[in-house]
Amino acid sequence: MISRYEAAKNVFVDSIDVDDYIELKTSESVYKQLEHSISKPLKMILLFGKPGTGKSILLNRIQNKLKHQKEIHYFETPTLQEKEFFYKLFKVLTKKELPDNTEVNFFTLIDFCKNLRGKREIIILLDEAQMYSSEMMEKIRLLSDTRSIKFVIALHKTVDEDLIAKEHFQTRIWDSIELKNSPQADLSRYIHKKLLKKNYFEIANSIKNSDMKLIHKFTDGNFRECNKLMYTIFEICEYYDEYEKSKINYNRLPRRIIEMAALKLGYIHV
Amino acid sequence: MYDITPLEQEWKAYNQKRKKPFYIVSIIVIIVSSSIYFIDYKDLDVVKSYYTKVVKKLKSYSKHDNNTSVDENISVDKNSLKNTNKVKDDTSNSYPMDADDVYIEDKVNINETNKPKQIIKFEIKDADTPEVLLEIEKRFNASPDSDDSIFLAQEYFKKKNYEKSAYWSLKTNKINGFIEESWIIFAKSKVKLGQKNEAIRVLSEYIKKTDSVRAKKLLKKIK
Repeated sequence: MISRYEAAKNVFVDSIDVDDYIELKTSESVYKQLEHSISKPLKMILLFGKPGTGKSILLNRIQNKLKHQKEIHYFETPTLQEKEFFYKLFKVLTKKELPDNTEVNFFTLIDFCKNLRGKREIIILLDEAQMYSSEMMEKIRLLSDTRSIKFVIALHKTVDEDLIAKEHFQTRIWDSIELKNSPQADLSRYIHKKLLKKNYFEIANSIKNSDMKLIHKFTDGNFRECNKLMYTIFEICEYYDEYEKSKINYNRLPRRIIEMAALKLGYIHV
Repeated sequence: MYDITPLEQEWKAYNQKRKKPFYIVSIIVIIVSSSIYFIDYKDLDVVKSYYTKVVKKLKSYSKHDNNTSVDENISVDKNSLKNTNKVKDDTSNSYPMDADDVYIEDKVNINETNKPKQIIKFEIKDADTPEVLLEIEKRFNASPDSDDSIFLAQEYFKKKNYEKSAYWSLKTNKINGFIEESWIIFAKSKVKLGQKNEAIRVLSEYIKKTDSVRAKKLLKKIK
């Protein structure tokens, strides 16, 4: 039988699984905004935010929800090779495999897309788009101009990347949605809901409001950082639970353990 | 699993470092507050001893010169304190100077030389200001002293605040029922407040106990 803390620790393994999605006020509002943008006749939608703000899980969720109503496809890992990207795109557009020893001719693909206009509306969710080269982005822009493919481009918000995105898509992006780090109340709900979803009521209750404040302070409301911190906290708890029970309070998560985890992850320093 | 011991040691170091500013601030607060307390206490002590001496002096004046009113005594006393050198040199002063008087004036001189002038000025010039009277009232409430209460009774009578002068003379009588001045002020205040019968009743009781000539004179005057 695994320890209660080991199980709780696993709740915070970073994932983009839709089943792990936690409904929060802020993320719900972003979700609705994205859903609304997709329904509009836009060529491109820019979804940006710092790493760990929930872009990937949001894309997954929207794909999962709309997959039975629309032709919506999620391109998870960017294919650095142009060839691979067009191969994937070819498969989506034609619903066929590309024959062996053949390559996609980009201009033929453009013509094909032009013919699809008014017949089909394909939505491509491009995650980690900051990893695509400028040339690739230019081709994506041309594909979006055919109006048969709508791109949702998710990228990290850094000054440079933001600039690149704007330069490329200034006239084409008609909607941009920013994901921000969550406020403390949302982060508290996130932690509690995650634990309650897996029926760890006692552990959820042992994390008090002041602990949540501290966790929010260390992670700045970033979900990925929060997952890392919670994982480490429960890993320390797991150790004490097994070897030094006197050092753990089952009713109240000790502040010391939160700080130890923060030291371990480098949020604070001696 | 972590090697938890180095992490615990790191946390201990972090915790000590985090608490360091609190310790420093606490020590500073303790030092500052204790020094403030010490300075205040010393100042209050000077004020207290000053007023005690003033009251003693008033008593000695009233003993030597029954015809001089209390009000005059206070004003003369103030003047004499304002011009301490003058009082010292003026041997023809109509008020008797005893060892106690010299001691007071010497003390004031010492204070004037050692302390900032402003504090001494406050003590002497503003002895009858409402702030000082309130300060003495506070002090009385903290530790009742008939010297303080009689001083307050006299001051309020002088300021024509008869309710308060009656109140403070009553307080004095409760502490010490044989301070003639207090009974006189009480009776005079009651008369001023229109409670002539009360004044007569109180004076009559006092005369029964002490056979005071001054009280008899006042009773006759009131009647």
